Amino acid sequence: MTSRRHHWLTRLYPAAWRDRYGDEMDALIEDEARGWSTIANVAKNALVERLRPSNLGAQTMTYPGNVTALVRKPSGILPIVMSALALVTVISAVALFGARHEPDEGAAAHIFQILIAGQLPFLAWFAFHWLRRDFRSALAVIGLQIAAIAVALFPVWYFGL
Amino acid sequence: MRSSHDVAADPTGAHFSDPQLLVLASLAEGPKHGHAMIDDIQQMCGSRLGPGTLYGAIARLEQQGWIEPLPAEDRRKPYRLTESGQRVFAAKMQTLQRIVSVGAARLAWS
Repeated sequence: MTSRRHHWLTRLYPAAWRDRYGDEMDALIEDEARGWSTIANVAKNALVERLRPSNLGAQTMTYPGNVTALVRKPSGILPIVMSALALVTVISAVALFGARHEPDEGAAAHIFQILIAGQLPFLAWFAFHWLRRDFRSALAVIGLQIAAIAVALFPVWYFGL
Repeated sequence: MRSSHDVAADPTGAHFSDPQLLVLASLAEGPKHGHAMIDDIQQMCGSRLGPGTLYGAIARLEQQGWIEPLPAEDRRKPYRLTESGQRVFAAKMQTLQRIVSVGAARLAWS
């Protein structure tokens, strides 16, 4: 295995864990280069560490470490705000023009589509950036973001717009 | 050679799968870094722990205060048993000895 692959393997662990054990584990993987069995073993244990982190990792945690802190990050809050705006847009359109499907989509429909599709890059960035640093909190925030999208889409489905 | 993650492939069922106890047993001989522990454990019981399994055990043993790191040699960091780690290991060995003696006696009866 190359040293590049060693680095990739230890990066599967949470950042706090890597800060503590990363260097020595890289050295051990170098010594124990046994191909796929080493990769599978490290990947499995990295997943365990993410799902059930050791207290040592929690003590040295340098990242937000909770949902409230993460949801305040721009890439955490923006998708939720955009979903809320999309919901307001669709409800306003129904209130003003009634719940009817028009073959020629109006401005409200275009704004709604832009708000829903436009948040996907933020959502992807949030998942890429935070899942590997604080897996459980990031997963909870992604759940909130997806729930917000579902809430915004509900009136569209309900009124058949 | 058998590794810790292919226990199911062990037809004898003799595989011992308590990495934390194996690490304590290895360090009872003296300080060792990861690679030396893996070699020692393999000689002791035939199982070769993967790096992830070994460091999972090391992290939890260190968190319990049963082992502690020594200054790093290059990038390799040796570990040793703490006093409480020695006491815990001795207690576990006594329990295991009772199990072994009772188990062996029961095997002889059957």
